[in-house]
Amino acid sequence: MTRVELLQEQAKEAFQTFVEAIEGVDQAQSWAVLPNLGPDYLHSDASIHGLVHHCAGCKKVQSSIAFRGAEYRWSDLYEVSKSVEPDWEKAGALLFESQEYWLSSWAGLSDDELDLMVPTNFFKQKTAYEMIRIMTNHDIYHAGQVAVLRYGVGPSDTPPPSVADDILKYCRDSKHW
Amino acid sequence: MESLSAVYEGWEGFNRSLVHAVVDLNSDTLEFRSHPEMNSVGEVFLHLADGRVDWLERIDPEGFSGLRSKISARESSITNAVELSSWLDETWQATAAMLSRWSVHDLDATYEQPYQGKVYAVSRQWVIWRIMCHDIYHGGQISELLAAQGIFPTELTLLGGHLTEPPVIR
Repeated sequence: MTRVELLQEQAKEAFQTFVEAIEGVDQAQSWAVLPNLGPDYLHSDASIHGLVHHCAGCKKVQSSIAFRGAEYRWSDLYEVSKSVEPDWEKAGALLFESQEYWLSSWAGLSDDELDLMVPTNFFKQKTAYEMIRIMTNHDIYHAGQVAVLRYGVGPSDTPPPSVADDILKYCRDSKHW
Repeated sequence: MESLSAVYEGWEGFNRSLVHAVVDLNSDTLEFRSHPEMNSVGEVFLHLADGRVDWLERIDPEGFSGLRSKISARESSITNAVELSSWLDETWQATAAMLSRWSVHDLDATYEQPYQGKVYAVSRQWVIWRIMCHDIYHGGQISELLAAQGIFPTELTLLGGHLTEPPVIR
């Protein structure tokens, strides 16, 4: 097994962990927000819906920047998020679509190319390996958050705060807007 | 020959963010749980650290035998923040020592693991990957459990999931 193949397997396992964390969550539960937390903590609005959008959106934009010449930008994500939220089923579809986009973005790398620097949305470049590792760990970390939220909050008939609004607020000054 | 310390660079920083998150917590915070059937904050921290020993001793028995003895000798659960942070550090030190001792060429070595009527050849790579994920997954849980109490340890929340601390330049 090559290093790239191993990383692909790990990325798939991490994504599966996230998928299992949201398995059985319905829209009402996905909308629920933990009380009294203030805005924008933990990269999300503290709803499962927000975390799904966060993981899907980050994966899509970061893979675009690192491996696809920034063909898909924050402004694209803003438009998509705005058009699908707060629908839970569409959020799930976005999640799976972004995973496919992510995996295919670097599946064709050679093992040697993993050590090359790639552009990022962070304050400095990273190697392809670092970028892949970050995004894989990202899924797992937020899966842990979902596991707490789904037992910590009841259903809600009020949509959570807009993810698109957050993207506009925090990313419109990015060079990758 | 690449050391595993280089391959898993950033894990140390995540451990540090866990230690910083727990060390000043009071007993009420540590006893908080989001649901009666879920672990409390303190229990998640302990589970995370004990999990390192439970799994890594299978691939590095010598490196973890001292920690196993400590778990066996434990008369009651660790519920104190300072003790939890020390235990996190101790289990991390053993993990870090293992990573620095091995290179990528050591990852393929396997041990036999009986499970549900089958015997699996489990590689060091599989175990290390699993326990690193275990750290991160429960780190995510802890971030929510603390946030639910209005506590936001910066490294584990705002920097959550982004594991490498940037170098200090001044």
